[in-house]
Amino acid sequence: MPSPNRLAVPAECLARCQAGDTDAFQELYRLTVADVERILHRLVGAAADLDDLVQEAYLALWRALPGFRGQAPLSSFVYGVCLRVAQHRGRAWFRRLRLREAWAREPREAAQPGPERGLSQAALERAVQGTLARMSFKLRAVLVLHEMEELSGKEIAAQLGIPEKTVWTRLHNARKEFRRSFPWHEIEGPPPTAAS
Amino acid sequence: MARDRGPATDCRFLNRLQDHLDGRLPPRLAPELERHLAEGPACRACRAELASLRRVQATLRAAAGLPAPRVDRAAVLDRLRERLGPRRPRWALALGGVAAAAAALLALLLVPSSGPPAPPTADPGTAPERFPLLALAGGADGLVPGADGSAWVPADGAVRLAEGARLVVAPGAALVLAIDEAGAFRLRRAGGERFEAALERGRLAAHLGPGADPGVAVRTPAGMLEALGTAFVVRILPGEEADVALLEGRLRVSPTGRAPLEVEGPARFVLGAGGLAPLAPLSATEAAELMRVLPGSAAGDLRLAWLAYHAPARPVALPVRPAPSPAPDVQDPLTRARKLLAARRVDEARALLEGHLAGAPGDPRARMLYADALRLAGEATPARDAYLTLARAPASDAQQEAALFEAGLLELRALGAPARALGLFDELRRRFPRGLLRQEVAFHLAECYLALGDYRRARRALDDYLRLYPAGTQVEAARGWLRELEVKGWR
Repeated sequence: MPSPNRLAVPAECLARCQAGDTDAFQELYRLTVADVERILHRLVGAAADLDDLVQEAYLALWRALPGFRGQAPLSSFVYGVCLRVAQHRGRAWFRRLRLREAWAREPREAAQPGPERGLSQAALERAVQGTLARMSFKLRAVLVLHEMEELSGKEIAAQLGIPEKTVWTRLHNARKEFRRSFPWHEIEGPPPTAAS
Repeated sequence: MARDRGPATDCRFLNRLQDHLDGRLPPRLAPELERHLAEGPACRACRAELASLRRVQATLRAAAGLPAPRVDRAAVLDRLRERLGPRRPRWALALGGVAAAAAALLALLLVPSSGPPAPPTADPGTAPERFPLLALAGGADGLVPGADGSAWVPADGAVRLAEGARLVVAPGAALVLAIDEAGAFRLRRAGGERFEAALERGRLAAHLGPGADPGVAVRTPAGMLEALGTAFVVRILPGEEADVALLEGRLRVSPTGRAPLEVEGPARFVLGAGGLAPLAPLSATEAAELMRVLPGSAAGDLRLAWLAYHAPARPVALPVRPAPSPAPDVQDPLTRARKLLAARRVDEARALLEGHLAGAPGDPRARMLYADALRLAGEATPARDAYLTLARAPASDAQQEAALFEAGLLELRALGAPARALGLFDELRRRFPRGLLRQEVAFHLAECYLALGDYRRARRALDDYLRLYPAGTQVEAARGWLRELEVKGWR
C-alpha cells in the first residue's frame, strides 16, 4: 500500500517551494498527488468533487509550507492539510465556495472503474467508502488513518490534536460502527457478529 | 439496522480484545489472554468477537490496497497554476473564512541562540505563522510563552525591547533584520515572503542579500520604506522622524501623503512630515556598530563598513528619482472583479464586469459575478432575475445548481417570497439530489414551510434534515425550531 510516510520529495525541491518557487511546487504536486488523492478519497468518501478537494489541499499546502520546519516528516504535514480540507468540506460556506470554483469547468463524467478493476473490487470499494461516508468525521478520520493509512496512535493524536487515549477510544468505537453498518451480505456473505 | 450491542457475556477479556488487536495490552495480561483464547469452548464469545474485529480490519486493509480514483491531475494543476499567487499571511486567509478573531495573531518564534531547535508545527493549516529568530539578548515585553515553551509575539501588540536588548530575525537566509535600542515594533508578513516591520521606537537594521526579493518594508510614523535589494538602517528620532541610512542598493520611500520616490545608496536622510531631508552618511564608528547589530552577514558587514568609511563626510544631494509607475495589472478582469466584490467595491466591479460582458456576453462566470454585484448592491430583484437567467441557460450542473440556490435564497431572505423560494428549492432537490448544496437545500425547504405557516411540512422537513445530516451545519437551528414548534403546539 502506498504510504505518504514515504513521500519522496527532494529537499532542494521542498526548499524552493518554501521560498515561493511555483515551478518547484508543480514538481511537488506531481510527486505527491497520488497520495493526496488517496488520503482525501478515504477521508471524504466517494466524493464527486475530489478534484476540488485536491486543489484546495494543494492551495492550503502552498500557503502552509513556509511554516514547515522539517523536524517532522513531510507526510505529517500533508496529513494535517488533508485532514483540515476534509473537515472544512462539511461546512456550508466551503461547499458554496467550491461550487463557484466549478463554474469555469465543463461537467465531467463520473469516474468509471477501469477494466483492470474487477467487479468485486469495485463493489468492495463502493461498500467501504459508503460505510465510511455514513460515519461521523471524528470516527472516520481515526479509522482511515489507522487501518488504511497505518498511522500509529501517537501520530494520529498529533494530527488531530487530541490525547492518544481518545484516539484508541474513537478507534474502538469506529470499528464497531463499521461492523454494524457495512453491507456484509453484498460483499462476502453473512455479517460478522459480535459475541453473544 | 441491528445495533451492535457488543459482547453479551461477562468475560473479563471481552473489552480488552481491541487492545489485544492493537498490541496495547499490558505485558502481564497478553499471555493470559492468549491462553484464554486457546482454551476451547470456554471462551467462544471472545474468539467470535476477535474474529469479527479482524474481519473489519481485513476488509479495510483490502480496500486500502485498491487504487483510489484519480482526479484529472492535469486540469487540477492548470487551475492551481492560476491560483498560486504570492502567499498571503494566514490571518488574511482566515479572515476570508470564519475565524477572524483567532487569526488576528501572527507570531514570532523565539529560539535562544543556545537553545534547541523549535519542535515541529503540529497544526500546519491553522498554526500561527512563525518567524525564526536567531537571537534575543536582553529583556523584552510583549512576548508570551507558547505551548511548546517558546516565546511568541502577538502581532496585534507591540514588542518593547529593554535598553540594550537586541532581537534578530532572519525570515529568509537572504534577509537579516535586527532591532535594538529599546525598540518598539510590530512584525508581520505582508504577502508572499515580504516582511513588514512597523517601527515605533528604536532602531532597525536590514540587510538583504541577492534573492531576498521582494524583501522587507519598514513602516515609520512618517512614511514607508520598501527595500529594493539593499542594506539600510532606520532609527526613529524624537518627534517621530526617521533617520535612514541607506548603505547600498535602492529604497522606495513613500512619505505619508506624498508621492513615492526611489533613493539610491549610499545616502542618508531624515524622513519626516516634510518629506526627505539629506544628512551626512554614517561614520565608520556607526558602521562598525552595524557589524555587531547584523550577525550572520559578515561579508555584508565588511562591505557596509567600507561603504560607510569611504562615503563623503559632508551632506550630499540625494540621488532621487521619481518612482516608476506601478506595473500594469495583469490580472484577468474576472479575478479583479472578484477581488473588488470581496472588498465591497461594488460599483467598480460592476463597471469592470459590464465592460467584460460587452465583449463576451455569454461568459457564465462574468454573469454570475454580475449577479453577485447586483445582490451586494441591494438590487435583489434584478439579482434574482440574473441568477434565474443563468440557471435556465445551457450550463453545467454546478452552474445551474449555484444559480438556482442563490435565487432561492434571495426569494426567501431578501424578497420575502417563501412560496417562490419553495419552488426553487424544490426544483433544486429534484434536479440535483446529489448536489453539493443538498444539505442547505434540505434546511431551507424547512425554512420556507415555516415562513408559509405550514408547520406540519416544516416539522417533517426538519426531521428529514436531522435524519439525513445528523452532523449538519444547521442541526442546532433545526432542533431549536422543532422545540419551538412543540412548545407552541403548532401543527
